Amino acid sequence: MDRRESLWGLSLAGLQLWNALRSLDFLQSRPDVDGERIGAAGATGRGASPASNCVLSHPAVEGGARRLTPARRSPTFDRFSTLIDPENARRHPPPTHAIRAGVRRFASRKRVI
Amino acid sequence: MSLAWPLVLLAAAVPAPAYRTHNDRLTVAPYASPAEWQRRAAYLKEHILASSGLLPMPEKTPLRAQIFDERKRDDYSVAKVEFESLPGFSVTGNLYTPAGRGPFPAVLLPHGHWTYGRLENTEVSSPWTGARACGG
Repeated sequence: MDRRESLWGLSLAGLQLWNALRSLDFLQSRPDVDGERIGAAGATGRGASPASNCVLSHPAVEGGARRLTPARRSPTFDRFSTLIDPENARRHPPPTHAIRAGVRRFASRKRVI
Repeated sequence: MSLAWPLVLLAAAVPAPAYRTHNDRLTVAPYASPAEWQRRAAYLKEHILASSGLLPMPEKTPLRAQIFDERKRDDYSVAKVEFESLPGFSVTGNLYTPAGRGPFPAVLLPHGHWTYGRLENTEVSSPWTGARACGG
């Protein structure tokens, strides 16, 4: 928590997590929701931040959560995982026009780093 | 200049780190037993809560949920939801309910920082994508 957040008494990450947890409370309070089967999904960061946080921290979800599946691989994640994972790069090669554009950009740069 | 020389000498004396490259593989270490993972999960949970300032958690105050402006479609309906996660602090969202009799399994979609927030309608962010991913 930085100084401003400590004045508020709650960090921004904490507020997001708390909102997610209270959303789960809201879902559980609904008569048309099966409280034993609540999941969470997200796309940003492969669904890592809010979704996994509430799975980690809410007893209702924790009990039933067997597997956390990202809604979809995000473009950002694909880009990074292509960089760090050669197997992934083979399976999901970047489009050739993007490679050509990248090579053009690299070849035409003015300043050598 | 003269002050910088000791730093240069120091930098030369310290061995260069082994650089990570794009070809490095990252293998997640497997856990030997469920109990071992449970211990790790408890550790992670405690640290996520502590670093978020949620240890101890705030008091769970009444949600005062309001559901309004419901629109019916053929096989589902959409309503707007507002509730108070903290006294006087509103959280808003959309509640998609399938037609038919419940109780239904539910999926929470923390939508993130899209341009149109929860109304962003792309393949990555749409509520239907999330519902399909969870077997809905």
